[in-house]
Amino acid sequence: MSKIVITGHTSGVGKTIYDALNADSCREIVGLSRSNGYDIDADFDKVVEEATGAEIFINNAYRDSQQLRLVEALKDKVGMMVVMGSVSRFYPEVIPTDYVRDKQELAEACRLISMDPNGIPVLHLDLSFIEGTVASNPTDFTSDFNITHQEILDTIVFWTQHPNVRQVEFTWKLTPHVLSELKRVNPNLDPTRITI
Amino acid sequence: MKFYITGSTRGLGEHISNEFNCECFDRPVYDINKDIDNIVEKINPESVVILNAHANQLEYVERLKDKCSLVVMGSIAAINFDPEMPEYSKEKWKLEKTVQHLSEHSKYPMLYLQLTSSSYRNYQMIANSIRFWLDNPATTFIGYNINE
Repeated sequence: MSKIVITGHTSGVGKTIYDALNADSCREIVGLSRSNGYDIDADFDKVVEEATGAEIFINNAYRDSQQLRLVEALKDKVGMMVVMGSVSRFYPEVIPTDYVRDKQELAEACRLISMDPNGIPVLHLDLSFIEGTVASNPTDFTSDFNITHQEILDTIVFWTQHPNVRQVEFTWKLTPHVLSELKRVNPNLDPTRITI
Repeated sequence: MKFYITGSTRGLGEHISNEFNCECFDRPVYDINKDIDNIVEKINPESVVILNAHANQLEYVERLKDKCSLVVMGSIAAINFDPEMPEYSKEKWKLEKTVQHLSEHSKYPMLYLQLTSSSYRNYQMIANSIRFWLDNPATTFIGYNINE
């Protein structure tokens, strides 16, 4: 039986996708997380081994450059791949963090696969603030999220029907709370650089 | 919801026009180069304008961004520079950057489609992409494969 493999399946949008696929799909759904012994950093080789041969690999969990390593390791070992990126990659000067740099490199790797005549279908999602998981302090953004888990799930389903789609971006509304959070990570933020 | 389109006399534009029962801004009734004021005047917040024709796309985006929902037909030439059509590539790059920036903060939903030569011929996929966006207006950009 073909299988769908997802990393980071125990919380946030990863859990929503994992639960929805388990409820609706006839395929075997495999979730890989620290909680079941598949840390994408410490257990990298195990993750690759488990994902190899998957019909769809959903590269969801973020940990430094591990997402990128998984793209490179699995780009010719799975049938299709979904990669969770971030719209923050368009604003490296506004959000000068390793996270943004990692997401930029991730997007570029996906673009190169999409240009390779032998490349597998890859969907790169430029996600913005997601319900429930947008900040370490949940009170910061709970009323400010831009996209729901369901919208991300719907996008993946749409892509399985239209695998020629390679990239989808989501809106990013810069509410006052979001702006204050950006100023927290970048005290030198020039407010004229962005628009509310 | 009322749909309008520019550039609908053939190909993708004709198909999209039929799919969404669009009112068309085309010759002989409209000249999209000369009738910008008249066209903009017709649009209200319930409108969806599909900017398919390349001519004056950027100006229409600027004029319509605070008036209605927009679908903008872009091109992979924006990021894969086409040396045989340098002006076209430059214009599409500027269009893409402008729409990407505006769509993140726009009052109305805005969708940019980064078309490739193969996706450009897949009319139904493009129509389905627009339908998907109508149901999921947080989507601002859809790009298509270039490895075919």
